[in-house]
Amino acid sequence: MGRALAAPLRAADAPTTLLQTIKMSAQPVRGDYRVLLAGAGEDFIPRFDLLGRVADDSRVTSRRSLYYFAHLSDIHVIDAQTPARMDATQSLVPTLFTDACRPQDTLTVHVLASMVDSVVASQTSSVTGAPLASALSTGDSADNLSQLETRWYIDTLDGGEVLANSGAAGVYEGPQVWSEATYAYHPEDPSGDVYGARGYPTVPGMLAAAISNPVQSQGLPVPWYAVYGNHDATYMGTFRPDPTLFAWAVGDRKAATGEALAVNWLQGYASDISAAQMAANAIRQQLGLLPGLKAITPDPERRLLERTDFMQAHLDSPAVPGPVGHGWTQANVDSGQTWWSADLTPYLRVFGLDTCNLTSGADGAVPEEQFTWLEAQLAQCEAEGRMAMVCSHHNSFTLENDATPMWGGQRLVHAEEFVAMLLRYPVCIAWLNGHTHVNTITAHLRETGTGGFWEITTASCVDFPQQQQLIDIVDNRDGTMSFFVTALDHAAPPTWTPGDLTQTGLASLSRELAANSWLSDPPRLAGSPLDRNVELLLPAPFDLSVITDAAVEAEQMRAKAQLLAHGGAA
Amino acid sequence: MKRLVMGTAVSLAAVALTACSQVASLTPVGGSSLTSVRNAANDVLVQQQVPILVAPQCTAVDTGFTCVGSTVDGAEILVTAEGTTPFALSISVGGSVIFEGNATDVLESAVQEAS
Repeated sequence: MGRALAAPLRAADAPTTLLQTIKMSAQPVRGDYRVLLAGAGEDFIPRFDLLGRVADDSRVTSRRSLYYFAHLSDIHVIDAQTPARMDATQSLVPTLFTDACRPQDTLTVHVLASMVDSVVASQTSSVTGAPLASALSTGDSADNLSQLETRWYIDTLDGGEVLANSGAAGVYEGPQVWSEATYAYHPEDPSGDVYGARGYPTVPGMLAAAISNPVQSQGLPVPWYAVYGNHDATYMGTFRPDPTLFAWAVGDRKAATGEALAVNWLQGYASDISAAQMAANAIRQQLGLLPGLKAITPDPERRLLERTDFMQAHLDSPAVPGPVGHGWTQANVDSGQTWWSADLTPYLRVFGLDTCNLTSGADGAVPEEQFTWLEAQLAQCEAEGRMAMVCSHHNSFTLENDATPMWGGQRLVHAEEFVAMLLRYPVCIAWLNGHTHVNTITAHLRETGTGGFWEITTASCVDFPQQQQLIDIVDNRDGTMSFFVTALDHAAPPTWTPGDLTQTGLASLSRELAANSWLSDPPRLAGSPLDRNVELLLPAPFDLSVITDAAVEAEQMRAKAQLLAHGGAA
Repeated sequence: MKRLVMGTAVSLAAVALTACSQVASLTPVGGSSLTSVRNAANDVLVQQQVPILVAPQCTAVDTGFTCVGSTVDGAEILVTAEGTTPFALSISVGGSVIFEGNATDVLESAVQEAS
């Protein structure tokens, strides 16, 4: 152990997009369907937006890493069989809820375990050789306010075995086997559905393999932190949960068609439905007059989470990789306060916000209470000479939801005011977020023409390109600093081998199915080269030499010890 | 049957909206059109090796989107995107047009292997 800790840090040839990217085939192989192939790696592109000038090349030889971490977001672990899932909305308004029923819904745990593999393989920075120190996850970890989904995601990140099934053992009960659900992909025989019409493949045994074989996850080798996303806080990421929904989630009926969903299920949710109408619906259901409503095996584990349950689930987590609570503490659960702060190092503090709107809508806002709290915290960081990063689920494109009442009817702060506040504090060097499932990096420039902060938005694990990010914060020792952001594919092979239903094979298949899912607009989600492998420069917020090399090395030694304890080769 | 489905669709939408007090906030996740234009413009600029100092920032205008950035030499990068998807895209650097085409084609080409 001592020798390993003393070993010099070295850059790793981690299997990132610096070495290899994943591309769609130039031509479809069937209908509109394309397979995926390995492509050339993408080098870092320097971005000078916040410097106002080109950076000095000498930084390459003088720089040192201050902190290297993984940025995860929009993991969207899905229990595809829960009756609470409104799959059938795809048959009626496919463009309103594009995420109601994806072809790869049953494979999300497989993808997450594969992403964990990639993070583990990237535990030393390709830029500086610094050891991975933590992972920050910016929300939408579960998909549908589900206790089971939340447990699956936490256990996969912590490490262990997860069986991504609910209801009947070894039997998939859901739209992907119901013939009337033509809006869904039927891997056993897609000839009668909208996916088959576009050339999606026949994959015998996919569903059985997905739900019958436990997924093995080695777990993240570093402490990880999480914030609320709209899918962790509201039903379908959009609606305020209702007692009827809680009952449906653990019930024995699931809507296969839009008609059944609208007539029986959503009317039960509507507040203005009459008791007579509800009784009539119940009788029709009993008489079998709602053929689109299917009997399924109920499962109490599918229950929907109450507001603080999501935080409590994170406290029900082991000390390693930790931290227990993953940002939240017992005090958060007791008080209901859903936001937190943590010191990643003595010189870097991170703030985890909750920007979800509990009234309605997928997009978000910053409640005034959090806004005021964060501003005071940033002022404190400024006074203490400590750098700060902000984590939230929503980004500056989507921080505009003004549905009230939210958080007791308090004022909602939207993107323009929020960005302006962050710009008042030079110690705020980055805002990490997700939500749109698009790799996007935005420079927020101060009015003086230099300085500001970088907003770093990562893609998701569920939609193409199923990428997350590695970020190395670097002191260039010339009055500037850099964020080296690397897009990270999950470890499954770019090209799925037909018939490969292993855990890794299913993760590979998931990426291919997602790449062809036209409703999610895959080409847009990849972002541009300026959003993937980039060096983001900015003026140092203060004289970084006050952070001594000894202090940095002590932190890196601590990170190396974490990796060694996990079995890594740092 | 078609009428039933249409009627049900309307009823579904109405019921869904009734269930929420804020209809306006029930739009899909925001920013997708702007992102398409922005990403396509960046794809073109990088592909043509334009030396970017400030990447174009996009704003919505009556006709679509306009994005403005600058090169390291101080030349203006101007992107206009007219209409809706697939957006008629025009990109100029220092007043010279370097690209005209549609944004969707650029995005699709960027994620595919070279043919």
